[in-house]
Amino acid sequence: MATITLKGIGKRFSRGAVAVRNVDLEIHDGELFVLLGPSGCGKSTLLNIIVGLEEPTSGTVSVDGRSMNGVEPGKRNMAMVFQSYAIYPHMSVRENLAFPLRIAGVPAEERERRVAEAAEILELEELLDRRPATLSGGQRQRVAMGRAIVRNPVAFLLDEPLSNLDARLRGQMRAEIARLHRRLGTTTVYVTHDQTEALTLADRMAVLNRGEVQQAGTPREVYGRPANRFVAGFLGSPPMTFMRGERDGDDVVLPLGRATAPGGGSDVEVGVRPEDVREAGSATRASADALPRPGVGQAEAPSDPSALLRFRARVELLEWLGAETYAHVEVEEQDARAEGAGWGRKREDGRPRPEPGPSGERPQRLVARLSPGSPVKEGDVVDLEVEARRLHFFDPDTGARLGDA
Amino acid sequence: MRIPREHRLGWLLCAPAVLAMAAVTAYPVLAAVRLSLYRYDLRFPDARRFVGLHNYLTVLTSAVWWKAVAATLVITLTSVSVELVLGMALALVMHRALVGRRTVRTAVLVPYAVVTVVAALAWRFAFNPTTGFVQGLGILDRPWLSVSWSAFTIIILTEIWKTTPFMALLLLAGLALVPGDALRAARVDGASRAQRFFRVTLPLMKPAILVALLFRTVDALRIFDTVFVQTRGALGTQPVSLVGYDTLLVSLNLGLGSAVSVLIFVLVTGAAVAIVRGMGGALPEASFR
Repeated sequence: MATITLKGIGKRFSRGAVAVRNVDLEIHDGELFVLLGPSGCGKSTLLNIIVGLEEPTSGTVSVDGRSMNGVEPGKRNMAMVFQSYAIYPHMSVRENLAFPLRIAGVPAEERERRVAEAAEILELEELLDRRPATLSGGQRQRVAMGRAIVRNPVAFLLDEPLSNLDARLRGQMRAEIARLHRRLGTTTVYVTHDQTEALTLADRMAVLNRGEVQQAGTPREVYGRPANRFVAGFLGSPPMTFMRGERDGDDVVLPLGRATAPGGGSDVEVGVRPEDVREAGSATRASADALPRPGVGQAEAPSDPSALLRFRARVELLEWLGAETYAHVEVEEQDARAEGAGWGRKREDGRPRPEPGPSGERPQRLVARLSPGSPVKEGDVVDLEVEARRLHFFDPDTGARLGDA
Repeated sequence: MRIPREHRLGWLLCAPAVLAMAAVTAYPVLAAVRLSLYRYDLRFPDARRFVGLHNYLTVLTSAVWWKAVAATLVITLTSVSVELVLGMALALVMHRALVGRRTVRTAVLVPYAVVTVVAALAWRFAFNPTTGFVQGLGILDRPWLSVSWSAFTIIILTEIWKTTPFMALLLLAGLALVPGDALRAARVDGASRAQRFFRVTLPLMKPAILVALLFRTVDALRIFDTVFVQTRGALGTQPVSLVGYDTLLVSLNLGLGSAVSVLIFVLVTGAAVAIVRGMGGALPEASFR
């Protein structure tokens, strides 16, 4: 049981590469905290710093208020599961599980009891006398987990524990890790690049990029209100579509229509998630299965027509996945239907509209999630709509979220 | 049972190599075995006749042979065990070296690149009572190569100096195979440096250690040039290979000399089998995935 606090953690390698930059995080007692990010974002380095395999160049790691800087990993009483599992190949499963206890000088009797207990939790009893080389990937993974829980550590640190497993096994083990965490209630830090693992497992999570924490919060917060363009684009599959919104007074003009945008008088970048786009007139379904967005546009009634962006688009490609269909569409040039729209018109401030940029020359593409029963076919022109409150606005220069952030 | 066509093709493709090996390896060995069953002394070539195992009896009942076996074993056991420890230390240093890795590896290899006879001569000169530099070192001033134990010491030192790099390189290859994650895991599990070395690194290096020990033992059992140059077998330092050389090429007794050669062959093979048997049982089945 432990609260892990990271304050101003930085890590610069001897060759000058900066792996982690000024990371402040608090991992609460008993929670499962996920560090999510693309490869090379510094998440594994951060984990190594927490466990003590690497020393930070700046900042402090503390556990329950006690600074851990300079403390040997073995003395931190944390258990780590490596991506490669790092099972000792020359020892049987039993010896592998017993190794940390043997090192700690636990008497043989208790050692056996605790190994048996861990083996029972992870259903390893049958495998105790086997050698790692004879085990399957999933079994090795379990041995690695077993070696972690056998010590009753203050925290578990899992470094991409599922990435060497095939998809089916990964789903199984993911559920098993969730169960294990609920059963043991031990503080867990889980590193992954897989957003599904992050969203399903995390009590709270942090998204990292280039060594910096982009956003920390519950999966719902991070998914629902991404703090910047990177987080918005990284979470979600298929990913959010981004488009340019040109400023026109309080409004911005998008290829999709016109919407009220927060922020000062500059252009904005607008993101739309596939699940927020729906066929025009199918409002009930779309809002029923959309995620609740804390604090976003609560005042507006979802059925308020003025808060709707309606647009026409040509379906280029349909991906039917059984439970849902993703339509890759090309947005058609908007006409006067986008009421009061400035698309293709002069700006009100009298300045001529800038020549259509890259987004203007190439038609705007978008991914929409449709119901699997939708009769839409490839090549069809369909009317789609997005509720304005579902749009995400970002500063085009800094990428920071605008408005309710 | 029919032999699949591919198998036959495989054997056909191997055939030239098999023939060549038979011609240069199997034939001489078998010829030596045959010779060893004859009384055949080039000083009395007409007295050549089949004597069965008589030559072996002569060798195995002679004090010279057994003294040579003892000398060979002393040199082998001492030099190989010291080399193993030193080689391991060197390998660890080379493995860990952060700067000048290549320079260190090249520097370490220099003694191995020196021709054995030259190395043996260099060491003999170094310990020469009149010209050697060792005499200048005060307490070391003694007739090194005139006393049995110190002659052994110098022979063994020469061997160690010369072949430790070889051992170190083989062990370095083994060290590189120890997965870093296993060592990190052991560190997280609380193992100290020494515990990590003895409980993780060493067991995982067993295959490499086995190979290194095998090569060096087989090599050391056949030691010849160093002793030939430094003492020429005097003072009880005569190894078995020198006995074979003297019987065969000095006394020109082909029968007896061949018997000695065959016995050396058996000794070396026996040692190799013993090493593989002794360590093979504990080999880890597979490396990390």
